[in-house]
Amino acid sequence: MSSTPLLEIKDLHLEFKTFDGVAKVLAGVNLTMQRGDVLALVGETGCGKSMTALAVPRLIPMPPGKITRGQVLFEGQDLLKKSPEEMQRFRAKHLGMIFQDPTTNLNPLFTIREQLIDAVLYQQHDANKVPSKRNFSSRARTMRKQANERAIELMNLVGIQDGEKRLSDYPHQFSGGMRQRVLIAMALAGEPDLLIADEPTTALDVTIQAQILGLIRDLVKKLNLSVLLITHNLGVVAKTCEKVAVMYAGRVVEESSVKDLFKNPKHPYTQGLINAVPTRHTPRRGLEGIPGLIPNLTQPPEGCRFHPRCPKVMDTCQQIPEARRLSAEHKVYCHLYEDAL
Amino acid sequence: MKLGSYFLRRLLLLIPLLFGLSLLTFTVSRILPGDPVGLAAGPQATEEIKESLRKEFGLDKPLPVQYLSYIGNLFRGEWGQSLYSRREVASDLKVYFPATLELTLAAILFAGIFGTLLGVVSALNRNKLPDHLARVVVLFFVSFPAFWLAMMFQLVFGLALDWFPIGKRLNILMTPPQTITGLYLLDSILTWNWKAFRMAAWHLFIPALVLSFGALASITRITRANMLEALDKDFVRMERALGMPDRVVIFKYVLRNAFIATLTIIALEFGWLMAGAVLVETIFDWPGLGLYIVESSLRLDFQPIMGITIIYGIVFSLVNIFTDMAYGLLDPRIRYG
Repeated sequence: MSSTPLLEIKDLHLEFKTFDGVAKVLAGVNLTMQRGDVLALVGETGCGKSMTALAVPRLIPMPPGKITRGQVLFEGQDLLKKSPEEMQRFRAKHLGMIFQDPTTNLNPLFTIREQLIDAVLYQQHDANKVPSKRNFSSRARTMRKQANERAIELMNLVGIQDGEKRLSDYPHQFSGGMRQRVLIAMALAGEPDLLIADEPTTALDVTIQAQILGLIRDLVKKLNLSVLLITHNLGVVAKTCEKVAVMYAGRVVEESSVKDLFKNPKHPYTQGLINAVPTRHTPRRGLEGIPGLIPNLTQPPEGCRFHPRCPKVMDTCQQIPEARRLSAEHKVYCHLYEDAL
Repeated sequence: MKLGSYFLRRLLLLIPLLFGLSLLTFTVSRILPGDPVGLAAGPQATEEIKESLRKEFGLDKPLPVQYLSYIGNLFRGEWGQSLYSRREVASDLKVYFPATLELTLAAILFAGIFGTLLGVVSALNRNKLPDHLARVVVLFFVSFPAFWLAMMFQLVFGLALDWFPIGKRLNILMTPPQTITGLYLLDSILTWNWKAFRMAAWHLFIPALVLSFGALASITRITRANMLEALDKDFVRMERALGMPDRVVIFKYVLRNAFIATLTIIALEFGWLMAGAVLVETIFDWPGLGLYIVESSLRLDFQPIMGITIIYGIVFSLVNIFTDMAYGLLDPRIRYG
């Protein structure tokens, strides 16, 4: 495992200026992904998982946001050091993103063809080489024709029947699930190295969720994708991913393989989270929650941010816990454990 | 085509609208206190003279009959006569209306283009120097009364700098381009008369600029607000995430979302400009409808008043129809029902 990871987030600190003061939204996020990984980032609402995901393509509005410390390394290069133009080129070439709500993420005033062809053109070519729509040179026409063919191919890839015909439709003529398929097609247009999916099924109803997850699974296999999947749904994690990182209040608290995490959760927060999921093996037990509330991020607790709610709290919890390696794949940020390696 | 049939239907609906408008104006202009005949005939006129005038203009007949005969004449292309100057209203309108229309169109075009641009620049530089600058400049011009600005522009650009003429549509020594539409710019293009085009544009520039300031301000503010709203939409983040350059995201995808509101305000402002052109026309000696309206109204000269009202009604209705059609072209979700 000495090769450079595909994505490595190191000690990422992000603050937001709010009316109540400075919210320390991310306070030292560490995360590593190898090429080919399908990694889930889970946590409650407000724990910073979406912000971590948005920090990679640098789509966090700044101001009010501000990255105060840390690195986002993509194959060893720090994305935070790139200029806006380099970043735009980087997003086009290496990243694909899917967002939560397929209704608001497509532009309502343009046909799917227009949007998908632009996605193809700007991901496959440098922005200044994409011809304007009024350019009718043979090169421009060929480019548009190729992009159109690629668009049809992508529609088929994401399982939209009649893809060629449906390209002429507008977003409002598609159902929610179909729109999410279109958005996946757009994200994949340039064959990205990394697909970041920010709660891609949260806004869909359950049967459609299953279809979209199935599609993502198929695409991962077919295209050998690396995926960072943001979700708060542990069922989605179990069905889709191999690895998982659990976040709490702006930090990753546990990283492990999915199997290990469900069988053997180490961090008290993870244990609470998994206990809170009803299973068919414990039918009559009432649902168990984690007592307390997520902390106010303008005044976060010192040390381990979970300690005020932790059933196993100790004096050392006032200090920020280091990563403890329990096995090659299992890391936990908790004072209860010692390095096993 | 759907759009074509929609247009025809709206045109047909225009007919009852204009009937209503004419009935209303007719009634109001007749029940207003005051004696138009007395005003026209002058203070020394005898009862007989007034009586004969009344007879000539059909004022001795009952009101419904007067209205019906007016409408009947209208269909024969007779818009009546001015009680005062005895000139045909139709021929007066033919002279004055195109001048006002050209001035208003130029002003709204100017306000529309620069207002949209300033709005976009302001939104993209929200609360930074260009935004504040645009706000201050726009407020500066809209805060001064139009007549004062008009005179200042005349003084500075006309008299002191001598860059622009201080009034009129053309040099008095110049023959206007052959009349096709009555809009000098359009006519000179249609007849390939470039000299007239240059002159007409030169004369038009300052009056149109002064007239446009009010509209420019509202268009800028509305565009700014709607750009900010559109920039905040999820699809903007998505388009950026796909790696599209900002110029494509902003000018292709965001602007169209913001422009629907801008279009509404442009249509509204057009009406205001046309009605408000009178001050600018008076100062720049622009032979438009403005003065004609004021004089006719003061003299209760009902035939011109009717004619002007109907023309305005037609123009506003057409602007509205075109705006509604443009909505549909901009936003596919809008259907013509």
